[in-house]
Amino acid sequence: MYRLMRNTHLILGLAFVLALGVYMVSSVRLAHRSWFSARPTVSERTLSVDPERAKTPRALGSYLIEEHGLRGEIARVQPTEDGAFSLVIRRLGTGYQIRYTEGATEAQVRENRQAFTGMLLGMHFAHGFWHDQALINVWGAVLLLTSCGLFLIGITGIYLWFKTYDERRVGTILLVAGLSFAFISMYLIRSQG
Amino acid sequence: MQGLYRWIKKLHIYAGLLSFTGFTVWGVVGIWASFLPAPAERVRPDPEVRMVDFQVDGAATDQQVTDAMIVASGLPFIQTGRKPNRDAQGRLQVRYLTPNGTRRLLLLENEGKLRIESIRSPFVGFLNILHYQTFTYHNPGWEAQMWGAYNEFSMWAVIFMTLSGGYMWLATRPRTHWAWWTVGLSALAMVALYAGLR
Repeated sequence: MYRLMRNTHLILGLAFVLALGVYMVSSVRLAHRSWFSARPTVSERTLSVDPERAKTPRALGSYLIEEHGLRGEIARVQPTEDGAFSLVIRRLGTGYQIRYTEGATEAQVRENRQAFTGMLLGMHFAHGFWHDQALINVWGAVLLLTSCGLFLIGITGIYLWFKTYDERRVGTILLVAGLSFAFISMYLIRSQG
Repeated sequence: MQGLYRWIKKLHIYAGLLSFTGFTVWGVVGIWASFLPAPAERVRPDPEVRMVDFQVDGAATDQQVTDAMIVASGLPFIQTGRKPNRDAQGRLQVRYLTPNGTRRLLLLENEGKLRIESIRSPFVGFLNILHYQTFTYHNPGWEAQMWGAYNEFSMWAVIFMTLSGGYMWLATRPRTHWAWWTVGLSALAMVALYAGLR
């Protein structure tokens, strides 16, 4: 049994080490923003548009995705003050802000591309299986598996500790201390309404 | 070398036991987030509303009124000094998020009232907010700081356990083929996924 648990602990740790790395690095970035200086790369360009295929913002977005290879999901469609409209096509780590006046043959595209840690941050926030982009749904599955993996790593870890007889006394004190501190903090916050 | 291994293993166990609640919370939040519906389909419950009397000093600035609204609300996890904000009708409001849910204070100046709206988050929503609070980034209040300190400790503990776990594997079983296959295949899958998402 011990051997099985030890191998399970190791295999889960190795299988999810990079996925956990994504969450850990992005967590450090969130917790200590000043440690990271990475800024997004911003560029602007003009893309030709067939007005017949750009009568609505979503039609324009689909056109740009199909004809100009912009990859991502259409989001944030908004009218602008001068009668034009803007929309965003975004995927993890990259966003295209598009501005277009109905009937025009060109659209202005502002591309905002995050650096490496910014991309990891985007991956940290991505979740669920409802995205148009299939790969984000695949990443959603990775999140689910990693979360389940965390539980199993924790449970097998507890078992391995319990079987390490020399560490039972100190370990019990630390486990109870950690649980008490965390649950008391949670209780104090939750009870404030 | 044996002494180093023993110490690393000891610290690995201690870090795991102390941070157990922390990464369990992350696991729960990860599973919950996986099954959330698309943002447009999420149901937003109606807020609980209560009114308190509130008179505005005619000479007060927006900042002073905003601070007074926060004090008059008596709500936890917020402090004075927030930038004044107005809603679409031009009324002063304070909107903020706490682990227990969203709060909105709305000044009804003509009625001499302060409208306090609260939407209580479900327990997993509560854990979701807690999972990203850290030592430096948390709601005001010592209770939130306590949790933030613990959560930040858990974050560093998991990073340490990842590194120390790798060391212990290589120090004891460096020629385990299935372990190398696991790490190789997962690395390949992750690099391919990263490239595809990028």
